[in-house]
Amino acid sequence: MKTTLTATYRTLQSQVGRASARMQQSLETAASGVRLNKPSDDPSAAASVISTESQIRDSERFQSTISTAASQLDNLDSVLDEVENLMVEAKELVLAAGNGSLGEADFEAYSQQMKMLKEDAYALANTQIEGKYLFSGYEFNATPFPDTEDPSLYQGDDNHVELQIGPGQKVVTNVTGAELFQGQGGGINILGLLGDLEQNLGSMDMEQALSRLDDLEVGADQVRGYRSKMGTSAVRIEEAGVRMQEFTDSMETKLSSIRDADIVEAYSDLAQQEQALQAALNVTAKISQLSILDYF
Amino acid sequence: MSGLSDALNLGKTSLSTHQTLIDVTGNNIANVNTDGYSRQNVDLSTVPALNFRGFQIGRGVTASNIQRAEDTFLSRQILDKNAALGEQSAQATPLAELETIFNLGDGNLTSKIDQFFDSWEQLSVTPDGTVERDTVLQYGTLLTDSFHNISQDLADLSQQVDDALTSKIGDINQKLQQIVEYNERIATVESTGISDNASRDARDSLLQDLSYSLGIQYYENQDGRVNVQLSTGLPLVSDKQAFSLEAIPTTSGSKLQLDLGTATRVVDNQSLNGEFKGLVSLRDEFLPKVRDDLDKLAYSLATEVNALHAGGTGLDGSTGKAFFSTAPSSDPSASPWSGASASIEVALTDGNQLAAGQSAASGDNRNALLMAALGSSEVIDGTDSFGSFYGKMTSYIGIESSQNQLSVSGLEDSMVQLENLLDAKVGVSLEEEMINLIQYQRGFEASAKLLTTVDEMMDTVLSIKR
Repeated sequence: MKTTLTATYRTLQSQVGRASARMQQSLETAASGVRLNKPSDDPSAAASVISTESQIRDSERFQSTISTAASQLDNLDSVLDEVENLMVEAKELVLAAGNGSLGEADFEAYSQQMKMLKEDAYALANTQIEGKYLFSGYEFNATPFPDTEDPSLYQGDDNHVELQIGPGQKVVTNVTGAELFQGQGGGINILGLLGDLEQNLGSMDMEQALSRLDDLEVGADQVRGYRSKMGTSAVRIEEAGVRMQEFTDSMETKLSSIRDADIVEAYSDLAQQEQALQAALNVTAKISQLSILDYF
Repeated sequence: MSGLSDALNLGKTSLSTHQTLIDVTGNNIANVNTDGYSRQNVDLSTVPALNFRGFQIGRGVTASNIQRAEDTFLSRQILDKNAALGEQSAQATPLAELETIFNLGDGNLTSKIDQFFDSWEQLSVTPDGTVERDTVLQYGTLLTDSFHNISQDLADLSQQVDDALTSKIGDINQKLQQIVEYNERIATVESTGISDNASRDARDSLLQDLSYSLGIQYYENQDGRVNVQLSTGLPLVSDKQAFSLEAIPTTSGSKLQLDLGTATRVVDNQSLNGEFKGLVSLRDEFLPKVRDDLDKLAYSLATEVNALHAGGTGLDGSTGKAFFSTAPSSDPSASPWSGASASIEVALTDGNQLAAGQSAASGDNRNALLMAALGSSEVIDGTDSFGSFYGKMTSYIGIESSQNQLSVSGLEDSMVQLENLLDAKVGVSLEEEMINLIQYQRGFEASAKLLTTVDEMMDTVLSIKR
């Protein structure tokens, strides 16, 4: 077979062109550190990149919800702590009043103290955080217990606010006023109890007041019960946060393994392509040195 | 009588024939870099001998014809490969363009979809927040804008492909006309027995060009004319006539037809090869499929979000409202999602209309939770979430583009191979020409020597008598 000048240069040109295109690609990969710049670079990985990025965004979103839920439960816990302390104080007050003989003025003082405790309880029941009532279910804007003289009046609803803290994982972040303070579902109406005690002390009916000591204990347990229930939620949230962080980390690793270039490989590739191009150019130079015209 | 003057005459034929040989070699060297040039060589024949004194005595040499080298088999193979290469090369740029539309960058459609559902999740945390409500509306608008942009980009791309098609038609018609002109020239010149090499080279180049753009078939008549036709047999050049291609603009892009003089025939994609096939199949098959998927995505998103949204209640107590609106297609035979990506809009105007809850209570976040969960549910055909559906589309485009790149580089390689093979047969090799040059120069020198010798013999004859 005869070789023509055109054929030789055509082949060289195609080789040099191919080599420099490959070098350009390696250069891009090495410089950007990214192996996948466009879908055709690896079509099967393109869909994984998009879905992995989407999952990372998902879990970042869940993490932000988790931190919000955690701080809400923190707030709730400190309020419940105060309610619990208040119950203990009320019990001590009744015990102190029942201890020994007291005069009318003493009873008046005890009654006043009990009234203050009751008012504190109402204040706690009407706690607002960021302008929203904590114990009114979905009715963020309705004062749950508007009338300190009417413990059975509740303006909130019985709904529990749920937040999504993971795929398919929801957690309740509130206790309704009806459950906690009115004892809805077989509990004790704490607000009513405090009001009754205030009246008993005011009317110096010690017998009646002492008979409610058990109720005070049951009420305190009611508060503790909800507190521990919400505490369990808080633990769940914390665990979900840790899990979500781990998930995000593993997704980041996955994304990086699909999309990012192995830097060592990228550099050695680059060196290899550089050599290939150099070789192609060298050969081209050699060819032009060899000519039949030199022999005439 | 065979005398000295006959020998002179013989020397003359030899001189002039070698001059022709040198001329042709010179022409070969001159055209060493000319595209489509086929090496020429001279057919030499002896001048018919004369019977003289009982002997057949030769009377010199003559150049009977100048032939060009050809290899029909390889030329046909290159013609076929050219059509395949044209088809793939024509798609390379539009596919690269498509890849930038469906990119893997941070601002891709999936990220917009995620942001939208993110904003619902944020709303579920603060269901009565004005800022959160406005954010949902804003991300909804950003999402519809993204759909509009991609839809517009696809329409532009389709238009560009169409423009590329129609812009090539004038060039093709001109080439067909030129083939007819070369046909005439070749038929006229060759009827006298002389090969019209230059015209044949030029016509071959035209045929290769046409194969690249249209994918043609051709056959040669006895008189040297070629007939050219499309792969389905529609004639482009028939004897002395060239038929012209026309582009008829329609709403779905230009349709091709062939003007046969007495009638017109529609040129469908089956008749096409080469660049035209690549562009037409991109415009009529691939891009519409991508657009259909995009429309389906927009439509499913709007339908699913609307169904959930209508089931909820806004802060203002409104219920049964749609979040997105899409214009139904005017064509009753089209799929319900046809055109959805261009027409999808946010239908709500007031953040309070957002149905975050299932009641008007300010803390009700039930619907927002459902909505946030919708973002990752597999609602499209029961197998894909909105984000992963887009991922699949991107992958599909990536596959098409990477296959195209592979085909182009493979076909380019085999073209180089075939052209090298053809060059070995019909190309100009400088080495060969240089060696020929020496050979012909020697021949020329020898003929001159013959003339000098005869001249000296003449002198000798003339000096016999003093």
